[in-house]
Amino acid sequence: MAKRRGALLALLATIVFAAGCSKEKENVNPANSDSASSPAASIAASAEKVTLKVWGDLINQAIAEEPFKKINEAFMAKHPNIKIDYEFAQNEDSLNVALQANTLPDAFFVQGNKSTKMKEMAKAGQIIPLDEYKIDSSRFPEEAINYTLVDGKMYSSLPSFFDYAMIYYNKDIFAKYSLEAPKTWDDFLKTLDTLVANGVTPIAVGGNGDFDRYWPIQEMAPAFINEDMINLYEGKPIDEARMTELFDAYRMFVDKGYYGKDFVAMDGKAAQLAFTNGKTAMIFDGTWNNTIYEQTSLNIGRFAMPGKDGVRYAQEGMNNLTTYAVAATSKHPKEAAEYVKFLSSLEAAQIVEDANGHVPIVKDIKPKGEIVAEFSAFDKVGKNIYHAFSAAANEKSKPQDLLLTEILPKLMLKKITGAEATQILQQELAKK
Amino acid sequence: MSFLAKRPFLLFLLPGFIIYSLFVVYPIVAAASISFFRWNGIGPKTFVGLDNYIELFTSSEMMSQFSNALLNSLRIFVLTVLILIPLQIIAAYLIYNQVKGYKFFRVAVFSPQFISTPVIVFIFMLLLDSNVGVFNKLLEWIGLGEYVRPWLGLPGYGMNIVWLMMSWSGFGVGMIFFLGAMKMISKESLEAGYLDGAGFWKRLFSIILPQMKITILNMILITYIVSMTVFDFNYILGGVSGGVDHDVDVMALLFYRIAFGESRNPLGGNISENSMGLGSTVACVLFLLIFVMSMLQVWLTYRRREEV
Amino acid sequence: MIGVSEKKKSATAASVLLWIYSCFTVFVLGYMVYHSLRPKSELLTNTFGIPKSLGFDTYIKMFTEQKFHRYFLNSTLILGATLVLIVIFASMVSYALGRYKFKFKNVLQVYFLLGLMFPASLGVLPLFLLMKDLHLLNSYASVILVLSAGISMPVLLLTDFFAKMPGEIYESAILDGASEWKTFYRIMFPLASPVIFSICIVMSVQIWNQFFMPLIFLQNDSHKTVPLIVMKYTSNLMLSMDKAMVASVIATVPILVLFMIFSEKILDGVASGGVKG
Repeated sequence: MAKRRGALLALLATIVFAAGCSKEKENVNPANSDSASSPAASIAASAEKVTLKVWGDLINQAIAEEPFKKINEAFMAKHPNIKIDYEFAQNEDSLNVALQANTLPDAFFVQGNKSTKMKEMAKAGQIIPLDEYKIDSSRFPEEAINYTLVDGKMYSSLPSFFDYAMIYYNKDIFAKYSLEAPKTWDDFLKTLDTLVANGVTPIAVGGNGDFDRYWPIQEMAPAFINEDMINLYEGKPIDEARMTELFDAYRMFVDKGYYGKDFVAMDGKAAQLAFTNGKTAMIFDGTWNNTIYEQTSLNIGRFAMPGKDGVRYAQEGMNNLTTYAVAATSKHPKEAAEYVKFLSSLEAAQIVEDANGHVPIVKDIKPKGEIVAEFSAFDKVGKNIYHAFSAAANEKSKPQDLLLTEILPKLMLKKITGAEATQILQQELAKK
Repeated sequence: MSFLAKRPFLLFLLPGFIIYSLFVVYPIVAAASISFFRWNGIGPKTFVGLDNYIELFTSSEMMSQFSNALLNSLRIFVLTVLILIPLQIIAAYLIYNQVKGYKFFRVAVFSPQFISTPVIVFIFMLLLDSNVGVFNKLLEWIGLGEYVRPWLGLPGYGMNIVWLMMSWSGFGVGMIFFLGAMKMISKESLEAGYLDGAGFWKRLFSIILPQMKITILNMILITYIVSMTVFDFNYILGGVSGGVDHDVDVMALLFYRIAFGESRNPLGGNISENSMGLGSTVACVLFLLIFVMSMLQVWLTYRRREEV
Repeated sequence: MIGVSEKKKSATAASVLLWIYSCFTVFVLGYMVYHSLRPKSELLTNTFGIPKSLGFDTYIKMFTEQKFHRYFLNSTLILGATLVLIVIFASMVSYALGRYKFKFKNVLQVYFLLGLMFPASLGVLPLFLLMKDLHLLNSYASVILVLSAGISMPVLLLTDFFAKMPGEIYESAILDGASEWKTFYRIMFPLASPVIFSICIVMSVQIWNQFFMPLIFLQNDSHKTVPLIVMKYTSNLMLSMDKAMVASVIATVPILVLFMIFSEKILDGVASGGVKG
């Protein structure tokens, strides 16, 4: 009996101790605890050491860990009065909880105009506009600035990189059939036909993944309907003939067997493994996955898909690794804005570039190695079909979801033609 | 006699009841009330009464997704009850009888539990892939090269594949409960069976199973609940939309898609104006589906106990 | 004995199935361990094929770069405390439900099942606010309390066993002058131990693999648990598959050892005699 009591007591003691432990820790970081909420604390902040709590993207921890460790060190060296308490604690669930419980960290990761979430947070007064902190945007192109804006006000740090979907190819297989990276659409089709004629599966595509089956159309779209995508942003109608042509091209790749026979049953990972194991000559994949291919011992080349007009297009898509917003509940908005400002700086961007090698959109960043230079070998940045469709969406009509979950699967399974796909799209666009 | 002395069960009930009510029931009730609001999880909430329920049951698009997900969930339930549970009972019986190698079985059968679902799916892909999969290499090797397929994603078989992987990894859970239940059966009744000359299998059917009826019923209920709330495998195999044509869509995935839908979208994506409201509505309907079954179960158990 | 040889014969046929399943499982796990020993470039380009090199490089990297001991300590603390609390709460509740007869017993049985009927991510906000009010955020106690309140499944399974225990045991104990409480923990609880050990095993897996609650309630790196490390590498599986494999292997070993100890108890432990009816 005494033994059991003892065990219970020990257990209770453990819990109390555990609770006590964490209390102690909280006191070390005054910014995290409620005690810091007194006005005196924030006035004294300029003189005393301020601790900023910052949340990073948990899903991309493996990629962001190294650059952010260095960024935070560099920032703290510059601002000895600010301590960065950086945690990879943010995913959709923890962010939702923090938003609703008013426990947001001082600064946290946001996706800018890529999702409506930042807009909703700005509208609900959860994050603050940063205009008064004068973040220098003169180095950045318009797309990067637009990324941070909600109703004309800046809400996040500026993205220094962008991502697009491109084609990775196996140079050894290309050499075997004396092929070269194609420069025009017709060249591209000829390359594909040569490979098929020689019994090589030209392109690995994961038909079983929501986005893996989507990348081909994102790459094709600028060449076929760039104008229409701009029109969608402006609320103008699309040209049915051009749209049908795009959908037909997407389906033609299936019909002609460019993806191999079983691609519908493969997911993105299977497609990537097929390519890295030399079973296919090419793969549609994003610049963000370059590390995967870089780490293989293969001889891999990269090119942007050539369009029918002979232009090699990249697609718009800001990289959100370094885009952070400041919470309205922050007790140190000035210092948090300082951190966000630093994330937009060349110094921080160069740290990220040296660690990860992304495609810079700001000219003064020194690209990491030849590969990034290869990434930059496109002629023009076209629109992103998903974002263009999203721009035309309203509460009733969701053409971007329809594209992913209805049009592409059906085209891929050869259930509809390009013309039918256009009709389905038009019906959705007509919903008000 | 004091109030408590007359009702000794209250002392046993209270600690669990309090902590359970506080940390399990209260949050559920609070969250369920969101189903009466229109809310995107960020901005202000508007009270809309039963509108979300009406929307769910009158929109043909929502209903078709809902019934598809429900059928897929039920398929897991039926397959598990008809195939897996009998196998688990037999396996538990073998280990109970300490057949040769039972210690090895015990560990082997339970170990898949400890590996996280993405890794399980990835390993299965390495086994079943058409290009690099061990299984397909085996087929080629024995001259069945024409049957090489990416088995993991075969269109039309999605749910069966999900079920197979779930069963493989979850086999030990049910088995361990059946084993525990068998261990509770009195030696006397088994010895009586021996003396009657009942064979190995006859003892299982005539002595052990009748004494495990309620455990089996309970496991069936848990299976039902698990099949209604299964998420991981379907999400990893089919993404947030539950595969091509929603062929691996299930109830929990439907809830997730509506409530948090676009969160894992690599392109960002939009949040719907009523994501949390409608998501909670789906969760409440899901709750009712489970609740009705649980009532039935408790009623059945109660009747059995009265019979004994 | 006749029984033994006869048992052997009939059991062999069924054992074959068990052998197949177990061997397949061991093969799958072995395949995982094998891949965890391969360098990543080879994993990618020579996924199926004769390995050129095997080694513990990734393991060494993981142990030196990651604070695995810290995460293990956190996970173990949470697991241990939660398990003890769950067993205490669940066995007491199910004893009350199984042993005694009272009004609204059926209602209570369904009430204790509610916890299984909702997606966990739905109720997390009210829970978070509750913990905030209790000043338990960023403390192990928050996760321990939330997880040990999840007694639905143990109660469902245990109630039946307490109900089935012959009434004479209870009555004779009471007649001997033992109190209700003493009767429970000296006589009834040990008798139910096979089932309690089963529950311990199943619950430990659930608690050990739990990442949602720790993620929400323990936001400091020093408080993080093992599944969060595994998730770090599985959320970008193709980028870090070598580490994902290694992390899975490392995360599995300690809990597997724990399992072997517990499962030994079920079969050969204290209550191996079963209930004397």
